Amino acid sequence: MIQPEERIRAAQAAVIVSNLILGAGILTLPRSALENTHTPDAWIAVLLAGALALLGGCGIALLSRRYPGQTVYEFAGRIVGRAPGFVLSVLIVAYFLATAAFQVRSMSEVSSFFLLEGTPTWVITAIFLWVGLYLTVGGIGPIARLFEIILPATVAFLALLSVLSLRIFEPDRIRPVLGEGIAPVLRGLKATSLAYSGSEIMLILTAYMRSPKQAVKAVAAGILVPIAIYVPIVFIAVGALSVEGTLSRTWPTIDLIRSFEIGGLIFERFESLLLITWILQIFSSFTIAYYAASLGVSRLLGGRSARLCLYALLPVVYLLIRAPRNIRDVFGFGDVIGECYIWMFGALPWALLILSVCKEKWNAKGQPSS
Amino acid sequence: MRRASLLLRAAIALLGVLSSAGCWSSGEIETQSVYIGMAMDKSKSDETEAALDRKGGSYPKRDAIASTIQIVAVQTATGASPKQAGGEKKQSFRNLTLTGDSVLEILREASLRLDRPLIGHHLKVIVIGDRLARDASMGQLLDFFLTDNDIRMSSLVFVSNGHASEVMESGVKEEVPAFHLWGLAKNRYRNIKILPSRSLATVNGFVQAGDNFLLQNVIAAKGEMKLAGAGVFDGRSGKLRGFLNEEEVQSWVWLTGRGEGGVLKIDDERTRQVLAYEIETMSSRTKASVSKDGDISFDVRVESRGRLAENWTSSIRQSDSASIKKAERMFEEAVSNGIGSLLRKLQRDYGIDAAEFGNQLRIQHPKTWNKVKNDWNDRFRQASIRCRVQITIADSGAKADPAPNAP
Amino acid sequence: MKADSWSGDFDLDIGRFREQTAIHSDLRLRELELGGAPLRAALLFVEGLSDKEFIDRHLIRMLMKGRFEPPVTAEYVKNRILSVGALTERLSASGWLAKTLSGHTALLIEGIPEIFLIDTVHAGKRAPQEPESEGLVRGPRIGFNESLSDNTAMLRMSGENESLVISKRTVGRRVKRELAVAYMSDIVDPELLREVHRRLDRIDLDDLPESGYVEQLIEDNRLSPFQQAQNTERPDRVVAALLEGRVALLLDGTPFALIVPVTLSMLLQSPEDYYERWLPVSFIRILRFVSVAVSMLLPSIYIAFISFNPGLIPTKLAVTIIETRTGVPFPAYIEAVFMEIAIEVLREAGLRLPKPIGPAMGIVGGLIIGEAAVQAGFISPILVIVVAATAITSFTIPSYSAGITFRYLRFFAMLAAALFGLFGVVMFLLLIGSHLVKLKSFGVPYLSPAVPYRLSDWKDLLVRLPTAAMKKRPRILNPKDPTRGG
Repeated sequence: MIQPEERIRAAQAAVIVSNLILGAGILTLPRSALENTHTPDAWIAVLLAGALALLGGCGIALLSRRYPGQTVYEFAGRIVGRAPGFVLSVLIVAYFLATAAFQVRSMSEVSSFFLLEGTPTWVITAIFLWVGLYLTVGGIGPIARLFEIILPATVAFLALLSVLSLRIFEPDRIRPVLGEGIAPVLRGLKATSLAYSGSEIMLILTAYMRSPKQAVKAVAAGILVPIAIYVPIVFIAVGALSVEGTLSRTWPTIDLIRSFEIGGLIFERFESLLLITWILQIFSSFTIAYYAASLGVSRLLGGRSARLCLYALLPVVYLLIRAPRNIRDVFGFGDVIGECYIWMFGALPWALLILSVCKEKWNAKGQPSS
Repeated sequence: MRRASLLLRAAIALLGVLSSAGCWSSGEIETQSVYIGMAMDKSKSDETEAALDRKGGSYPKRDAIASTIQIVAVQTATGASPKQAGGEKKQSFRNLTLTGDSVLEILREASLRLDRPLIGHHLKVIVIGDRLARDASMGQLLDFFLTDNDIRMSSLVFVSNGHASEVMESGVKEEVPAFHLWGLAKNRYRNIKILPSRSLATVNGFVQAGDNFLLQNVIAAKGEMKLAGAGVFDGRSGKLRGFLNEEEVQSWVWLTGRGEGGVLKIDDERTRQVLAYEIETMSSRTKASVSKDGDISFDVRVESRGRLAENWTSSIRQSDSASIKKAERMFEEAVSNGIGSLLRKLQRDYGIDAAEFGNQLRIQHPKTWNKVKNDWNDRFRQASIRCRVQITIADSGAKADPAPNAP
Repeated sequence: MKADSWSGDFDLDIGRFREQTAIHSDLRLRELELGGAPLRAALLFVEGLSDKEFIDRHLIRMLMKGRFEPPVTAEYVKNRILSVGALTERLSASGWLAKTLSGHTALLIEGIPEIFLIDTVHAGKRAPQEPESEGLVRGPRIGFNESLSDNTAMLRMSGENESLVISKRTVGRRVKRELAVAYMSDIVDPELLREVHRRLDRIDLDDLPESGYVEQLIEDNRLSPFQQAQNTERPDRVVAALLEGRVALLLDGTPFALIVPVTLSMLLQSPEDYYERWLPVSFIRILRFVSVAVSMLLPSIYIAFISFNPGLIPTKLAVTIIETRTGVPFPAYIEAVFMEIAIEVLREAGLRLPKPIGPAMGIVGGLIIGEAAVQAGFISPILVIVVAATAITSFTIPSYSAGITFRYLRFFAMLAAALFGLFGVVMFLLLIGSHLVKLKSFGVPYLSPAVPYRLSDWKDLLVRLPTAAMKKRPRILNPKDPTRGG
């Protein structure tokens, strides 16, 4: 079913997971992490949430590698039965579609606010969708390869920006560590977990891996990269803008970069780098989520060509993108997606894994007797 | 065939997009007015505007703010020849003063007088006059700057004891005042009477947290500007409460250990001659302690290393460690005295903790801080603060000073 | 009598000779009698194209002075008389004329119903020269010429090597040309070789005058702006590619050999990279990558910053730009497109002009017109710098064909920037990136070895590590023998 040249390597799977995780959250995470913690310890919450995401991701990887060559759309039915499996697949498709739409909507909001004031958002969105479509019709191989270009650029740019932001970093602002105990950190755990949604792609990717055995390793590596990016960003943003200052900004990471100028370097102002990086990341998050959704639709419709589904789903995604009426709705939309992520991909995979293992044991026991 | 027609259709669509909609957001940089500085005062009549008003060019407003907008690189009638004979560039700027109630409205009102729209991407400095700062809170005054998408959070905020608009008119002939002021704030490695830069981001942090804070004061006279002390802002109300003079700002920098370089001058006890100490490094540690009955006290330890950079006396000899010790002690005393008078002013006169003691308490005793933070300024009045200064003269520069020949 | 076979009756056959060649006035028919045997013979060759001296010395002299003993059969002629290496027997009449017209000598002997074709081709050809399109400071000063046999010989001359296989085939329906497929039999991936032959089999065109035709007919994606075969005039480059496990195609009549599969990074490399020391070379390579980026993107970034995102440039620079652009009547994108087109026109004009005038043209065009345009206030001085920088950086691309690609992509980048500013530039990059990751050359991803990650191949990508560290062939080519040596 899957062409051999479409197989991806473990490193590529890891890169895809990282790219899906790093998305709209980069610009808002410092604020959303602080919203429930209200202490400078938000970065600890981000770190812990990363650990939780690792746990969830491992569950997903362990589950999917039990069914080599099959995506969740196929093996879900085998674990829970045909009809429930179908429902689950529909939910997963809806989830990926919503994720794709949310990413693009955030991108168009930020682009029209910071880069293209006055250009109709439908134009920005349409261009973005077309380029995304062009990539996705190439299949998983090209997607993986493009992501392999984007990720190092992202990591390099964000590392550079983090280092540069250190000049307005004041250690006093992130102290005291755990001054109010661990409780605020735990309160922030849920909100920060949302930023790590992305490992669920392994439910599909594992089927494409050359060696599905490495799925766990890939997902772990794929989550470690975002942890290494998120934690410094939150840490530095709070240290530079202060807790209350960060909370008062819609896009705190952009404001962090806009809070300093470095004379002597050619650029002097670096938000262009951040915005470019961010658009690249949104692009990668969108394309893989969209690809996963289309793949699901094509499987649900009994193996119609995924390419056709890619074209057919574009209007649907566009409507979803236009659905939120204002920026508050957009953030609300993001929260709903995050909520779904926690339920569908935090707990469910482990449940399915246990179910699947039990079923196999039961079958194995039943086998000799029959 | 089909492919060709597809390409043709794509080309037509592209041309259509290009010609009809075109470049929605495009606007060449030279067709816009880039404003780099903004001064805000309590309403003060501007001659031009008054004249325009008399001809009926006014709208209903309370005239709460008089805003002076400094636009850079104004186009001259001669067009593209900004060079002067000497090859030196003349930077032209234009000030526009408008009154109104809302900053945004004022900026848009400017479009009735300027053909090129204002863009705020390059706003460098915001100067707020003291009368306005006493009346309106910082949060209100800066709200527009923090909401707008063009303005960067790196813009510096100053307060001016006097008319802020005068600052925008001062400066050496061919210099743009806003750039001049921006440059002055960068001189911290030469002089410790300058506060760490107060960008919009920093001020926003203070305002949002309700912290007390200082803003650098800039004054103008006879067409020149000078950084002179700092304005003290009450975090609760966000309003200006008073000023610290240059000496007090210097002490504030010593107290917080934020200096990057500068000079400490004293008179020698015995000879009344000049001794100057050049700061190389400076640091300060504050230890907050809470006694059993809830009294809060602070121990500040200021340390500095530097060199004896100017020495007019004969009583202090660089080669003689005893006399160096003596010089160190004299410098230490001078710093302690300065800090003492600063603390007296903050604790007694203003009753405002503008030296970040509350912050240290928050870090070191978070629980206590949560209890006292609502009436921290009052608690600060009662807090006992001890300060120890240690200055080390590490070297004496290029000058050698041979010890007198021992018999 | 069948139309396409010879009768053996000399008068009849010579009649056909004359009849068929009557319209070709450059064909010479020389009749003679064999020495020792009363048999007539005839030689037919093209004047000027065939090696006259060879014909006189070896053919005519041999035939006339020899002592022949009847019966003279085809076998006898072949084995005892014609002391030449390249000999073809033609039983049939078809095809002999084409051969003769391309320089072979046809020999007809009374009593033998066959025609002998002797390779006497002696086309005027150029001595091997240093290739002009790929100049090097250090490296062999030899380039291919227009003769296929010379070119294959040059490959052979690269050293004793029994695994170098040169297999020839004919392409072209009407004008038949020889095309040599060269590879290292113990390195090349057999699957790649099969694919090359499969694609060559599909070529069906009456004439392929240059290897560019072959290139365009065998490439993977015909709509792509990127070339999918590398062309080179340098034997050393070809040999190096063969040793990596690639396949070279050499076409008769052109000095440009094709190398497949190609990757983007190859187009930015020069053979000199391997001859010079590795540290300076690595530095130069990085410069080249930067140059490509600059030449493709600088004008569009200029447009984006001037027209869309003035907030993203330093304040002092913004002030300078405002001052210098004051009075310029055009928006930045019109200005930039206009100047970029002008510089492309100048470049094209400089190419077509006779060599001594070309550089003068560049100076007149570049300096004088640029300066005048600035003085007249048509364009801003900063744009002149931008345009000059894009032009100069585009010259650092070692491959001329790749240079063309990047140069015209620049215009699309400018279009994107003119419509959507920085966002447009990012979208353009994503589009190009998406295209490049989809593109393959003979099954090899175009961006390899950069992506998919092949760390072992990265030694020779952005930087070049010391030669001693590069003991492995590129793994992406799936070579039979993966190591180069100890």
